[in-house]
Amino acid sequence: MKLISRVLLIISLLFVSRILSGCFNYPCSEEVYYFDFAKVRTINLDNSGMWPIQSQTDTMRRASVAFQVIVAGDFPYLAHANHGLQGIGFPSAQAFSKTNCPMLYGANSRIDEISIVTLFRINGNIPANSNVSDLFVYTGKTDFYNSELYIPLNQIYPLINHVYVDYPEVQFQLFLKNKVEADSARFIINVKLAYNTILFDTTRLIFMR
Amino acid sequence: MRRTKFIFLFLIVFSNLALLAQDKLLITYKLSMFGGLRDTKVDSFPNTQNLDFLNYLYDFHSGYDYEYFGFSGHFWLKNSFEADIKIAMYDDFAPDNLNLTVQYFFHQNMGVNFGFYSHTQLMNGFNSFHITSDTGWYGDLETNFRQRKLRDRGFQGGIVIKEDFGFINPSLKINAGISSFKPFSETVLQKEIDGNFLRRIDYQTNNTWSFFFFPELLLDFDCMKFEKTSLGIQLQANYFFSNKSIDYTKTVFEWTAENPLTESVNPPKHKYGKFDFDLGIYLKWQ
Repeated sequence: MKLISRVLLIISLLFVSRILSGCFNYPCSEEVYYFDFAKVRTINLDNSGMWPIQSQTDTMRRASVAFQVIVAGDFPYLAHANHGLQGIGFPSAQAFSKTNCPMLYGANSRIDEISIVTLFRINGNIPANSNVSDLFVYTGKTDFYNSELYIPLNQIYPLINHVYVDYPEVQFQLFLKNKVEADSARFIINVKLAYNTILFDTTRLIFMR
Repeated sequence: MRRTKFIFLFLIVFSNLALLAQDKLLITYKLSMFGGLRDTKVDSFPNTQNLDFLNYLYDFHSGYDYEYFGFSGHFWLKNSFEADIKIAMYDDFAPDNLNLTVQYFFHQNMGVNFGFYSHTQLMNGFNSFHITSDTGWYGDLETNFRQRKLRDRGFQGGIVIKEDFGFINPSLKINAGISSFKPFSETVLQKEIDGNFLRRIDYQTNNTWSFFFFPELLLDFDCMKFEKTSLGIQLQANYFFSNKSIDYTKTVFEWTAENPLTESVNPPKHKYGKFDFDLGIYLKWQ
C-alpha cells in the first residue's frame, strides 16, 4: 500500500513539474541568421475567382495572368528545429508561452530590381522579348484574401527587403494588368541582387483560355 | 466603453441634480423606465449609377422595426423651467438613443422647448448595390454581412402645451429643427471576374442637414399618491418626419492607390418617417 502511495506521489510530482515547465516564458533570441538568396521559383496562380489560388494547371484566363514568386536562400531550414526550448512542459501550455520562438533571417544582399520579360507577344503593341515589368503589379499577400489594392512593381523593394521570419525566403504575387491576346504566354522573371548577381526563373508555358 | 460612458453620464446628471436640490432649484423629480416599439418608413428608390445609402436603411415593411427599453427623467426647476432626459437602447443594450430638452413656461400651460436628440438606426447590406449592379465584377470582396448603425442627430425647438387634469397629465410638444446623419466611411473592394483588375471604392459621407417636424405626446396617469410622492403609468408617442439624404464623396482607385478619381454625389431626398410608442412606469416626488 505504501509503495502504491509513493508511486502515485512521484507521478503527481512529475505531472506538476510538467505544468510548471509548460508555463515558463523562455526569452526568444533575437539573433538574425544571414543567408544568400540562391534561387527563384514561380508558381502559377488562378486568379479568375475572387481570390488568387495556386494552380497546378498550365492554363490561365487572358485577363488574369498571375504568378507567385519565391526568392529563397540556401540556408538550411532550421525554423522548426529550433524549438529546443520546449522543455518538458505540456504542449497546450506552451501554446500560450513564448517557447515557440521564430527564427529570424536576413539576406546578405538585398533585392535591388525585379524585371520581367515576355517570351511571347502579349498584344499588337507588346511583341515578344519585351520588358513588361511596368505591366505587372504586386501584392505581398500570399493568403487567399486580398484586402488591399496592388502596388506598382517599382515600389515593392522596401516591402520585400526586410528580416524574414521562420524561412530564409520572400514570397510575393505578381499580376499582369494587360489582357494577353496571344494563345500562349511565358515570362522570364529576373531578380537582381546587390553586387549585380541576377537570379531568374522562366515560368511554365501557359495556354490562354 | 459604452457602459462606462453611460454610468459617467448618469453620475454627472444625478450629482448635479443633487446640488440643484440643495439650492431648491429643483422642485420636483420624475424618474421612469419604459419599453416601446419604433417603426421607420423610408422611401426606396430604384438603383441609379451611384449608391444611395438610404435605400438600405432597415425598414421591415410589415410591423415595427425595433424594440427599445430605456429610462427617462423629468425635472421641474424653479423660475418656470423644466428639463427632460430620455435614454433608450435596442436589444444590443447600447444606450445610444438620447433626447435632451429644456422647457421654459411663459404661461401656466404653454412654453417653449429646445433640445438635442440622437437616434440610431441600422443600415443593412448596402453592398448589394454593387453586387447586383456591377456586372462582370465580384461586387464586394468582403463576404461578411455589412451592417452599420447610423446615428441621426439634430437640434430642435418648438412649443409645449401641458395640462393638469388631476390624475391625468398630458403634455404635447410640437418641435421642428435640423438634423443630419453623423458622417461615416465605407470601403468596397471589387475584382473583375476572370481578370486581375482590382478596384476600390471609398465612400466618405458628409453632414447633410435637413429640416424635420417632430411632435411628441406624453400622458401621465397618477395611479397612487402619497404625501409628496406619486407612482404612475406613462405613455409616450412621437412622430418624426423629414426629407433626408446622405451626400457623400466617392473615391475610386483602379489597380493601385495612385491617381484616384473623386466625385461628389448628392442622392435624392427620401421621405423619412419614424414613429415611437412606449409605455412605462414612473415615480414622481418633491
